[in-house]
Amino acid sequence: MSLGGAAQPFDLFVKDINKSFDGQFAVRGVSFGVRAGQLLALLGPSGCGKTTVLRIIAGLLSPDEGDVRFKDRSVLGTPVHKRGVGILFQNYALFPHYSVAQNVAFGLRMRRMSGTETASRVREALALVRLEGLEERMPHQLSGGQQQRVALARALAIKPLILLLDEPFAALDRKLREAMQIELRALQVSLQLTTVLVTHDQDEALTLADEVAVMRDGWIEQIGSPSDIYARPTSRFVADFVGISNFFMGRLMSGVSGEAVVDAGALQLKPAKVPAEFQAGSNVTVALRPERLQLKIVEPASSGPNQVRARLERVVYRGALSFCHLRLEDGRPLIASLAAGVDSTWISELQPGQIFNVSWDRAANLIIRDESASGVELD
Amino acid sequence: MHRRLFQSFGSAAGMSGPALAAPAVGFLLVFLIVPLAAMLLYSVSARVAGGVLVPAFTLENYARIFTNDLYLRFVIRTLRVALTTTLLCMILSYPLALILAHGNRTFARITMLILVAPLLVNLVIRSYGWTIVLNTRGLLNWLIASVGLPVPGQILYSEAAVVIGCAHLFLPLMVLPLAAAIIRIEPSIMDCGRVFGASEFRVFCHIVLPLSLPGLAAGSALVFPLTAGAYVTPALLGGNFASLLGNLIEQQVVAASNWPFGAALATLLVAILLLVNLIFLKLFERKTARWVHRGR
Ligand SMILES: Nc1ncnc2c1ncn2[C@@H]1O[C@H](COP(=O)(O)OP(=O)(O)OP(=O)(O)O)[C@@H](O)[C@H]1O
Ligand SMILES: [Mg+2]
Repeated sequence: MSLGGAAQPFDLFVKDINKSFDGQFAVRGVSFGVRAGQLLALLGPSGCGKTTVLRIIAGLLSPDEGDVRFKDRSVLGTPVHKRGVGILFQNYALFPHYSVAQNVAFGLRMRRMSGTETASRVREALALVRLEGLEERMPHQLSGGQQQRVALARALAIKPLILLLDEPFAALDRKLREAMQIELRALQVSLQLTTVLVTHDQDEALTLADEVAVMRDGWIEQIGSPSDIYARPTSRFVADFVGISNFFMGRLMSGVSGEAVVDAGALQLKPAKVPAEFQAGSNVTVALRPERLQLKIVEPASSGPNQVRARLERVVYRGALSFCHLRLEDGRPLIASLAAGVDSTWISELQPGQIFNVSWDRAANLIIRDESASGVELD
Repeated sequence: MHRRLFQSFGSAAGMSGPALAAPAVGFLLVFLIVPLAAMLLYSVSARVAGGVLVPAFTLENYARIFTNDLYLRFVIRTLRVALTTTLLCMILSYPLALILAHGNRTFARITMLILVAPLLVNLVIRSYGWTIVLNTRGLLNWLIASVGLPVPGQILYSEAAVVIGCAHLFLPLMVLPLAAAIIRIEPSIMDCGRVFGASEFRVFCHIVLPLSLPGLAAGSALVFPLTAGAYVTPALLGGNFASLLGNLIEQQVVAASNWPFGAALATLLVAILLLVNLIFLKLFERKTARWVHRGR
């Protein structure tokens, strides 16, 4: 939860919603709140129910159970066209028979706003997305990025109570996408728009959001600030979906000095802290982020907790980062990343086949929930 | 209903080349251009005076149409019936097309069945069916009377009967292209309209109606000329009071054996229909020009 936000009321609150199609759950027990002026990202793989949640908020679908509240008033009884939300669909859904200006004016016309006020609002909205001068173009005469901005202007023009964005940047090239993301965030912050953004792109979620809700199979797996989600994933799914993680399964033990240690075969992991839900003696999974690992050529190999010997198999160069694919002596894979600026001397000297001593600090060990591990017996 | 079914008659995928067009051109030449030319020739190459055929180049057959009130009235009535039928079909088509395009599956299937079932029944039999319904003591009047409304009297043998009969016959030709146009409208565009404040009625007025105009144009381009050229339906349902140009032509050719005059009437009918359709399509085109030909 973001600090200091507690004073702000929830503009949007989604409470325990369930929705099934033909007996198949698409959304189950989803709850979250978005405070005034904040942006919440719904992040998850394809088919996990993100769009369904968005359509329920907009009123295009009604939930089987649960409640949707705008400013603490239930809107379940309010039909779609009276909810006052602005939406940007994944495919933009511009009205093909209307010009840019007419598209942007649509919501205002439906609100029976006067001609002069509509015109000034349209001008204002097009200026916000920097599309002045294209008023008379038809949608098919615009580039993808321009269409996307028209769709955004259309949503902004009505000064929506809630702004809903369904994968707004999915169709754009990377450069344009990043530029639009920064623009959108700046707009959203300056206009104080309460926003829900749907995306399957973790970078987008982490870049844009005040809060990220990671969805999986129709439920919310974890909700928190971007740094929470990245640095403190609570489940294997989140650790795997957001960023890259190494996973080690082992038995949680109480060490000699009373400190917890995870015994994972050839290696010992000593975590900084153990969440209360995990008991000593149980099998747990530990996630390790690649950038927390340090490589050293050590002769002879040292031993101890939070370090292990591994052989370098290959290096994948990714510009700012290089990923070292390593293999432990017992065959388990391990990925470590090196930053170009910091570790540059290293990267040029790396040779497949080299043996490294890989080490990490205690805080890097994240004990997480892991359904795939339950029932697995370790020797 | 079934997206693919409708889309399949949207565009003939990328076939081109003179070789491919040759059979069609040949067909048109033999079965359309040649008969039309023959008809035109007939209408100016002879006249009937005192029951005797006088071969000679003449425009008198045309002059006769425009100088005689009786024949002009046929022309006007034909246009009026065709126009009314087209408008009636347009109005009836929207609910049906919406059901076909967006209604639930079973409902759409039943609608489709009801829509095309009449095409499976012989034209004459169907028209006689309508005479039973539209009779002075027919089903319709009986229904009107049984709910206590004033009975309008004889509907059969009036223009209204012809309009009803033709609308019933040609309705599928309006509904199907319309449903095809409606189904091509991106559902998210309609959802977008709803979210931005349009009630279902306004979604229809501002989105469905304008975006389905091409379908409406196609349907009208079929229904109007087919009604104007109708022959069996007006004969059986219109009787002597509401027979159309087609019936007049038949009477001239068969009963009066005046082929040249019949040919002149037929030529005039073709010319009027061409003109009307051209104007009609131009109007639709002007309405939709800004977005329909996106690709070009
Ligand atoms: N109208 C519908 N009828 C039946 N099933 C549906 C319907 N809409 C969605 N579903 C199902 O519900 C689940 C969630 O769909 P949803 O569109 O919300 O996914 P999503 O997270 O938005 O995926 P994507 O990232 O691919 O857009 C899917 O399994 C989908 O098949
Ligand atoms: Mg989606």
